[in-house]
Amino acid sequence: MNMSTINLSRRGFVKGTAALAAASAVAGSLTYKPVKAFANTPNAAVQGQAGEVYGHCRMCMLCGSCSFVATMKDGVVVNIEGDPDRANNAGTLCPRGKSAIMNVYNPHRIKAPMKRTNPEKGMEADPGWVEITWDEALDTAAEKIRECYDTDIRKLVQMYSFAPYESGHATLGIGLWAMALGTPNSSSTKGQMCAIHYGGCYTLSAFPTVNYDGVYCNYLVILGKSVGYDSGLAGGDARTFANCLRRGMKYVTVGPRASMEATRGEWVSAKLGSDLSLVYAWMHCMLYEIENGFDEPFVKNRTNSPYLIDANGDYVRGADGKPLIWDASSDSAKSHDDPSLADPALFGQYDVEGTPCQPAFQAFKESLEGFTPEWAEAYSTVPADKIREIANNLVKYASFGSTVEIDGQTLPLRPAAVIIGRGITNQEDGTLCDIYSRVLNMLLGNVGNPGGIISNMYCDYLPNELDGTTEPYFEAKTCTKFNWPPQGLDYADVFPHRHSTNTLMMRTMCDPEKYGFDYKPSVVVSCGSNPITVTADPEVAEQAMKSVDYVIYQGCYHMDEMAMLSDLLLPEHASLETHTCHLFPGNEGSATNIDPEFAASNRGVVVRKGMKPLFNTLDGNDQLIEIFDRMGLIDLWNETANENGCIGYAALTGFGQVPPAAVQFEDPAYKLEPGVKYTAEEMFDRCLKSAFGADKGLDHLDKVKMMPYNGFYGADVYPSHRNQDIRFTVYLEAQKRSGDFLIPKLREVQESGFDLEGTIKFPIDELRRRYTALPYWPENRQIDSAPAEFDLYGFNYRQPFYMFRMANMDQDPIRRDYSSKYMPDDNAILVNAKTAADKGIVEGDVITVESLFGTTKGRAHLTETVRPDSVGIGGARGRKTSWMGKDLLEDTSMNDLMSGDFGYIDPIHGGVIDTVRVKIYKA
Amino acid sequence: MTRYGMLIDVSTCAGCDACTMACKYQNATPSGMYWCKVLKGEYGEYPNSGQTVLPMACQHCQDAPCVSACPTGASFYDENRCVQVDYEKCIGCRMCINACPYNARSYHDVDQKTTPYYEGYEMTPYEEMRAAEHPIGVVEKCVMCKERTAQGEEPSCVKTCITKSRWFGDLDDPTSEINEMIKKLGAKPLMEDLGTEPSVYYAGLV
Amino acid sequence: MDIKMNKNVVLGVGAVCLVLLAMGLFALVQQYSFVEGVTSITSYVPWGLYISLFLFFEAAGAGALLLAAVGKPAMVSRLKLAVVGVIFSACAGLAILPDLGRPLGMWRLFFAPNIASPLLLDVWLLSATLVFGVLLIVGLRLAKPALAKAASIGTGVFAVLLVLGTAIMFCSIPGKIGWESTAEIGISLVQMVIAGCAVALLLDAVTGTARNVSSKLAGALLVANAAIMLGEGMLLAYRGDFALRAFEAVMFGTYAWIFWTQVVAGIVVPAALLLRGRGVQVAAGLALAGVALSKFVYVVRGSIYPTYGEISEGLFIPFLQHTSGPQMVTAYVPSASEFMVAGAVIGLAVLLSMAALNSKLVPTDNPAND
Repeated sequence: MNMSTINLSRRGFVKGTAALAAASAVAGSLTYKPVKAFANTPNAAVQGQAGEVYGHCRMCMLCGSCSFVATMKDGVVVNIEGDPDRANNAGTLCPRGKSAIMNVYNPHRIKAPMKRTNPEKGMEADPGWVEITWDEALDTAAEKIRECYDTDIRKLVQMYSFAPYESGHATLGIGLWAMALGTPNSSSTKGQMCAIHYGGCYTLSAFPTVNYDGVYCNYLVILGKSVGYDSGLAGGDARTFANCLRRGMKYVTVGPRASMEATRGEWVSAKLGSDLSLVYAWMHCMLYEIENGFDEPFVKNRTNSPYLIDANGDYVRGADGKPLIWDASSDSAKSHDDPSLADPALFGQYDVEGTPCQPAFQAFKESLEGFTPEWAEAYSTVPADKIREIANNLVKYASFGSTVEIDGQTLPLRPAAVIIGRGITNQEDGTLCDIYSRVLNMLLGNVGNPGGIISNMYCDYLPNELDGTTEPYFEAKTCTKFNWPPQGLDYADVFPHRHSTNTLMMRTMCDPEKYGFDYKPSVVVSCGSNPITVTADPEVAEQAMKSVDYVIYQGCYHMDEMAMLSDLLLPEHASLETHTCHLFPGNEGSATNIDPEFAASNRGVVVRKGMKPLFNTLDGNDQLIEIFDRMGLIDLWNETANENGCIGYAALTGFGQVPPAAVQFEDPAYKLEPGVKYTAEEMFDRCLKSAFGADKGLDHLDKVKMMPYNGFYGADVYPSHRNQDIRFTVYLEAQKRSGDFLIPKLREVQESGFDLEGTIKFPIDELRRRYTALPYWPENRQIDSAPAEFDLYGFNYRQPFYMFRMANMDQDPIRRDYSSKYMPDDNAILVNAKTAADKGIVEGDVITVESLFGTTKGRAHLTETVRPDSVGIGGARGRKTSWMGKDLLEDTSMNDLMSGDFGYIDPIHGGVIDTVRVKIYKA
Repeated sequence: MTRYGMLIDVSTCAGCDACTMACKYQNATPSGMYWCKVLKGEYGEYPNSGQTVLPMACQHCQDAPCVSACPTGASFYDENRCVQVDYEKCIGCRMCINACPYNARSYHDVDQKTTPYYEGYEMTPYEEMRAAEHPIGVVEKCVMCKERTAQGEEPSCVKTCITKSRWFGDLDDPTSEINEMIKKLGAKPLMEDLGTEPSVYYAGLV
Repeated sequence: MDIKMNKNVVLGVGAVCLVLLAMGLFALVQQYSFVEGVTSITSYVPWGLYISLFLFFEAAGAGALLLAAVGKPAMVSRLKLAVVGVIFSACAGLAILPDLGRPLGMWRLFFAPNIASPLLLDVWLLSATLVFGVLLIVGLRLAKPALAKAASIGTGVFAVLLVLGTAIMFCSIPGKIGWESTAEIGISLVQMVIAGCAVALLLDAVTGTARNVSSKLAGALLVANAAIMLGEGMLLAYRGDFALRAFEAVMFGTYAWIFWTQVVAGIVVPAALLLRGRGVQVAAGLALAGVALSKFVYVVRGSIYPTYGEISEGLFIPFLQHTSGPQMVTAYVPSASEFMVAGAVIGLAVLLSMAALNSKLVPTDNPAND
């Protein structure tokens, strides 16, 4: 149902869907059928659609970075290619994007709205689906949600995710509508293993993460991240990597496996979970061993290093509240923005009006004193000489003081950087790794400069005007609120900086009272989100879904685990069937590069004008609009859209990102009017006209495919050039402040008789220690304290075919077949050949990997490309229901080895620990 | 004369198999058949080890053993000196498969109706639409995207390569970009000593 | 009919052959409905059981025809050999038909061929051999000495050329290193004579001195066969080059049991028996079976280490991995359908031979001379 008719009345809509439902009933049921899925000729084929459909792809997290052209013949998609008109993917398309065709013709798709008739829920229990009209389906959904709204909105749990579906990400789907209703329970099921956002958000207003400058960088150290090759991204990262190789750039990949990227550059094999020791040792070298080992002018003038701190670690502030700096030239304390400040002192002990104090950098340096390369070697197994070599190279390549001319302007050139990813942040010390790798780049003076690291949204820095520093935003926002009894089921009150703690929510949902809640959730609305297989602990999520009264699967696509636990299915069009638009890069542009030819200078609204939908599905946004209308809350919907914009990531608008992550309603004439129910297409149309002009609506976008919006060009690509005053935070004063607020509250709860420590399985004293402003070493991590029988480390790595679970990536029959035949690591467990020999395992043996939390099976693939103390499992695979194909149950699944329980997450940003201690044996 | 050729820089290949999938959807090859594939392996001993990749397809030899070996003349050189198979003439003896030193050829002996992409289901409309392009009982292989190149487009694998590590062009044109790149990268064909004179060049082989 | 054998044996064997034929037809229908897995042929193992059967029938047929052509025994004995030789050679051709994806297009091999293809050596030499073989039968049966003599020369020459041509065709294929060894030319020719002798001995077509000579000749050639194989093996040990690894693989890989069965039961035992003149018919049977096994081993050897294996060293293709031993491509195990079709071809060969030998084509009495 692409509702292009303007002013579609509710009656007209109902008639339309009823007619469709009737037609489908006549043609034989189009509902889910395990075998004769294609017994009926699909709708579009009848209509003889020919020519091309085109638009942006949204089948990975870089939503909209690539555009495609699909060829249609007699209503059937016969081919799909990259759109050569789109600069970002330059005609290329990755192996996942190609499978958009199979995404449309997936026989496991849900083809009509349905309700459950068998009350017993389970992964294999036949739900007894009965096809219903859209009218009935939407009325039911509206009634259930309205009931929560009228009684206690907290009872409504909404979840969103990466999805094959639009509603998980588009317009107001990413939690915004639920937040507008007032529930604290809007939770992301994605991102629990991608908690790499906190450090970037904290230090350089970078959400979702941080890139390197593929144009100028000459030396890049990669920790736990894929910068293009291992993800196989068509959107530019891989191409940038290739171009950098061609111009001689050096890549150093630190990790447990010789990945494609490690192969193309230098591989430094390090023990899993040891990255923090390396980051500390490199900073130690830069501060203690290497002459001119850090960019002193940058550290003095562009960071808070010289800020004076008192014995408590708080800034010493002047009368105007501004932090003070010791000016060595005048031997006096001055405000950080005092124009007469000539030589900020980094070291020494001072006294400001009776307060003994020191520059933060003095404390910072001292805290790193013990982290020598020899110390790091003992932990990481990386030879101390190699650690020194890398530190020296970083300093050497950074070439402090050098400059580059861009568009006639002189910018600092710092072509060396360290970049990190999920592989290291999803550890118990993930917050530390995340943030101190950013701090390391500050020492190199490369932040926001040519050759260095940069926000992958190229955004302006969010300023703290008083302190003169960047202000932590989004999930790093300094904690100032605490509720007890807790409000959000994800325990956000205790983990205010979490990215997503959905696995915790699954636990609290099962027994809210035990966790201190004074209410019980009753309705779940999943917006194309599947909490069962997306992270760890599928059985807990299953239990959680069974514990509520009613589960609505909105924007569902196929008969996955979530569908098996739902009461109502509101299926959405396939990716190629929608008419929609998106702001690129709205949220996640490029993972890694800032080639001016690429994302920064090619921002804009991109369209997708798909084929006619095959089945009785409905656009996910239109589903939500209909539900709001039927709840009598259409004004709330319209107002939320008006305030936040509706193209791109409207949910991020409130965080003050500049430029905004969603197209805003600029001309008020086009704002959505109260009392009117618009279709999603009409909303987009009005928003576009409002931002671009009366003649630049959706029709116009359909023709031009992309409309530039807030791009950066030339020297302005570099945010530290745009803002030459702001200081970055080497000293994490705001993090300490978060702790100063939070920890006493937690102690109060503990003292009130509720065993909070036991509940979160983490001592509050240790938590206090973690909310600190200076580097420290966290002992007794889970990964170090597992029983000795778990003698190996299990890790997960990227496979280009099976990233995340978006689209039908693990279901696509062509990729499954090809990878089973030609990919050595397909459904395999990578074991070092020597380790395998010790354990009597030979190539092809089916082996079990067991952790404290679960097991998975796979074919042993013996290799020299992994560490002897580690085993690798690639990709995001493994299913819990056979309703999408029995063979999927046999897939090797890393998630089965992990736990998302309290105590197995980073205590600050909440990332689920994704490296686990394991043992292996023949199955 | 035109002699279409290809250059693949293995040293910048990401091994992502975008080419494999582009080929698959361009040609709608039957379930389980891949004209283009990226073979993967590794070299060295831990920790001095790494991965190897080798994108493989028909090498479009100028002295092609398959063309010589074909008893019915079904394999032939087209006007662009690419090796093609005339399905009308092919009797499915598979002599050419034996003859090809690059294992570039596939035998199509399975009815697509009985083995659609989604196992246990019927053919998708996509397959129904395109199955007729693949008659049964014959040998198939990369056709250098003859329909695309006839319209001045690059082969599908070249166009889709996410690292731009493939080049397509006329090897007989000394000024062509592909010839320039072959020289610059010092590219060579695979197993040159067999004397098959392939039109596909490789750079950066480990 | 002119039944010379035991009637019950004829009926029994005939019935078995008919059952085999029926099963083969059933399998053939399956095969041409193109269901996945109906044959074990893949793009990596393009030739299998059918080609092995072709090589076997070719060796036995050409061998029998060669003996029929050059022999001086009684006319009936020569006639018997010629008849069986022609039937076996024809069955060699027949064995190939079900291997073709489109057998109906085989007219092209005769009327629109690519003359450069070495496969045509097979096609044309087999045709010529059959023509001369039939002429030889006619000459012998109708007692036309001139025709018989001319046909003898033609039959003899083309029988040898046929086997030679096939051996050269295999050696000429660049894509399969396992077939490259020129030693196979020698082995093929030697095996042709062994098979001919064995057929002759089994048919009781040779008597007296000739029988003794045939038996010793077969024994000696089995030794020669073994010697050439040993030579190949020693080359492997000394040279260790890639081409010979295929031979190593059949000796020690998944097919090792077939290889060593062939060596022991197909060469050593029959050679010993034949050279000592004991259990000659059993020995002949073993030798014939040995040739059949050897042909299978030779065919599969081509696919174990294909030429591209050389470029793909270090590369890992999961579904090609060995099951055991030093080979690269997964072992080829013929499917049930392939066995049934092959069984039908063998059944047909036996049935036709039996029918012909028990018909008026081959007279009961030995006419005095030819």
